[in-house]
Amino acid sequence: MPIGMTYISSTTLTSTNTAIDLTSIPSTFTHLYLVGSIRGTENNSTLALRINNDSANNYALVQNYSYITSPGTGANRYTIGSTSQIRNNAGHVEDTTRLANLFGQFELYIMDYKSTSYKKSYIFKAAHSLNSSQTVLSDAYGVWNDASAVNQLTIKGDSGNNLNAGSSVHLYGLG
Amino acid sequence: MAEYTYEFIASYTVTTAENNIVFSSIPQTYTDLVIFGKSRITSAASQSNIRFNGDSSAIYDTQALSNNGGASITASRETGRSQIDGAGAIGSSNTIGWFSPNEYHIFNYSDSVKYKTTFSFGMSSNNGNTLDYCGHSVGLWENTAPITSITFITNGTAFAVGSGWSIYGIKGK
Repeated sequence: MPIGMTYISSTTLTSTNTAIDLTSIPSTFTHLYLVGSIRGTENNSTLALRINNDSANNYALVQNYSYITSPGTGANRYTIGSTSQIRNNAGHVEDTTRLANLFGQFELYIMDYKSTSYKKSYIFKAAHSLNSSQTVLSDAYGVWNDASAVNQLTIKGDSGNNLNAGSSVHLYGLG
Repeated sequence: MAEYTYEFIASYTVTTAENNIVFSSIPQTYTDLVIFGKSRITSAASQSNIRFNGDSSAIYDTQALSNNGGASITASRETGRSQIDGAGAIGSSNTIGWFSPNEYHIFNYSDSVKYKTTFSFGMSSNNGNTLDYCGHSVGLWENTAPITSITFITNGTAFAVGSGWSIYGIKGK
């Protein structure tokens, strides 16, 4: 019987790593909720995520974001065949020139994640502050073009840069 | 110390295309409601709108930030509506099996003094392997009555098979 939000697992990096990999996600809930704080090791990278370790160009998304210059707003999208991961313009603090101890934050919902009949849709919200006066935020929406049940989530930088120690995620199931 | 959690209330999945899907007898034991789900329409792309207590009078308002085709963000406003123009829904011309993710927050739903306010998140499109619109909105129902039922309505033809939503309650202990 469904009960609501249930904690599944947490991961905190104790040293620099290429990604946070959540495996063996149980198929006992209706939706998944992932929340995290992330810091990367290189500039000019954005937060990214893969489902079931699928590195093919099977992801589509459209997003709104604000950026630091002016400040201003923008939007973009990726169609199937153009990206091998879920992306977000925010949520990932680049390390080299940013304030120490500053992490970006994000939350991700994957709807009907254990279905084997339908492609998986998601909402991916994120933000990060670069310093005391500059913040980036974004809300992205999209589809993983695969009807497999979701059993693995990999949180990473979009260009393969590493995540810093202290980066953490918490996974919940919504029953 | 107060504790907060999501508690499951009800869920529904469309098995035959239909419109005007009603969640009734919503318990009054929580302070706020959260809804997660997915939606697809049997006609062109549209929205997954919500109506409270079966009230179709023109006392709903919505203001949104959204983009069209991954281009610039625009603001829009709808007033005097008969429903909250909520999260988007995927249209019949998008790839089979695609749905819009839907997220709604309904604040102070059991309160009998405040007008009811909402957040909605989602996307819509009707364009093969491409997603055209996304955004979020705030909604207002100019009524103080506690919410006892929620109706999902599309101004398209009907919600497609596989569309569905789960409702959760939030409260302090």
